[in-house]
Amino acid sequence: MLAYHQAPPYWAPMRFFVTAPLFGVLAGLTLAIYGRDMLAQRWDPVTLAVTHLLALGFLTMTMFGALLQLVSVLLAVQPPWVTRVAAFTHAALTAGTLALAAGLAHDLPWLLHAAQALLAGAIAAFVTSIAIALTRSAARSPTLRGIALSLDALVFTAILGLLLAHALARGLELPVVKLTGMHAGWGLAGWVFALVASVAYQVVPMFQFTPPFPARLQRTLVPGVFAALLAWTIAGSIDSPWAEHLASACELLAALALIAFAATTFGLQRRRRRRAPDATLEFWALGAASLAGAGLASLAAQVWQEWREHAAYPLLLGTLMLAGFGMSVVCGMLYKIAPFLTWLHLQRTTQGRASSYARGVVPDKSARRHARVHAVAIALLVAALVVPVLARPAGVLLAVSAALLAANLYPLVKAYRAGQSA
Amino acid sequence: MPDVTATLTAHHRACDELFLAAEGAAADGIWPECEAKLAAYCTEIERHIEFEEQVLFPAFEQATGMTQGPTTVMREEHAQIRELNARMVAAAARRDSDEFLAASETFLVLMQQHNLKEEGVLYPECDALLGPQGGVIGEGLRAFKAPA
Repeated sequence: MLAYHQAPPYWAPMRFFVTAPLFGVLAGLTLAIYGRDMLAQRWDPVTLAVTHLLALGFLTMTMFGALLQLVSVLLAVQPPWVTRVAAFTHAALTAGTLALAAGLAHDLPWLLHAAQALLAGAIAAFVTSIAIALTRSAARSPTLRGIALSLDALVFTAILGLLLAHALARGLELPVVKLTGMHAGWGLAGWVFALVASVAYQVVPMFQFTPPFPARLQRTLVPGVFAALLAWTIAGSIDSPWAEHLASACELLAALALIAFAATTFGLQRRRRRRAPDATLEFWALGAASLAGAGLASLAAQVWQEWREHAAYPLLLGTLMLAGFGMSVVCGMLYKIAPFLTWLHLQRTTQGRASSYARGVVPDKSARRHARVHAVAIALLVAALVVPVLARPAGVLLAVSAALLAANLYPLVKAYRAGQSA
Repeated sequence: MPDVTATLTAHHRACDELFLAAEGAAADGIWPECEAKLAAYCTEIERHIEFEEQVLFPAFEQATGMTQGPTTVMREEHAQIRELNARMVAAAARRDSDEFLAASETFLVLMQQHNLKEEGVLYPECDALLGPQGGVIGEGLRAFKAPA
């Protein structure tokens, strides 16, 4: 799956992987500096900035890099113009996310306009390249179908985001609350969750030595979530009591999908064939627990009106899905993919000279230490929703967690560079 | 008669089990068990690699006329697998669990993606090309002994 011969050049995926931790640090520090009561409500400008630093700067960043690698290998063809698409997408996503975060935090319309152009360009270029690769190949699998659906969801999330940024910058009269709900729903369930689940069918059995995901779950989970999101969006645009019931039923379905995926992942992990400790396993367990938490919180909101209207509800969902689920599983995957890619490319450039090998490795102990720090960071972030004074320490810990990722990944790049110049 | 895919895939799983047992013992610091399992694993994987390179790949190359295709990639990866195996044997002899586990991390990802390509692409192609003869060739693995 990570074969050298179909693989894009080293820097195509790696540039995304080494940038993401910096956004994690930035998100944590922003929270630590502005902290105080920003986690008290979702409309706080700095809360919006931190959310996008994580969602775009950390998650979309790594998922783009991983997709370039994965799609190349699953389809046995590289996405067209892979090197240029990677360089452009990476630059535009980086600049666009910074502009968006600063524009949101300080209410600067010109920065929001710049962010709109940069992010639209980054997402359009990336999705076009992957879509061409997908249509050119005859390969079909639940993973590839799920990747295609999640990219559709990303495009829809982006369109809603552009509209919202436009409304903020120009002061347009739009149903902002409703559109924000849809933007978050498509981003979290349609992009982040659907993509991770689709990719999990390949990488969980392969990297964690578990049995495969049940075939029926692979076939139905992501298309089901996608159908629920579509129905939910339509119902949300109609003003009638039955539409409200339909929307609630869709939310219930999506919540059950999250819980089903989390429970299945735990079940598979329990039946794994490998005995040695493994940071990836711990990160995925942490991610699955956060996902189950998000599913349960959403389930509770369907039966308990007060909780549904509580200010902490959307913040809890966002925290658990982005910092809890997304960041954890991405870290778990990076600890397998990044060292292996480094080793593989070093093998090629150094003709397998012995010295190349030992440096292309992240010690499992350091990766597991990172998993534990990240677990505490998630716990503090959640606690800060009810005890605002904890927002600052939670931010510090989030920054430390991302810095540990950088400290574990950067020696790989150094080893690769040393191998190139040797 | 089971075909190439069935026979060689089953042998991959048997090799996996032996290796994972060796790795688990290394993680627990039970070195005699680790060395015993590792030795058993090395014997089996050598047999597997030699069988593919001496018997199966030449049959595939003859049937397709391709000598610079997928079998070349597989041979390269076999060399990488052997190199990592040698490192793990050395690490076990030195009782160096950090070194052993670092090598096994790389090895497991390499081996998983190698097996995926053989089981998903190369073996089915062998079966399609070789027909019933493929079953006979696959059956040969049972009695095959790696040259010392």
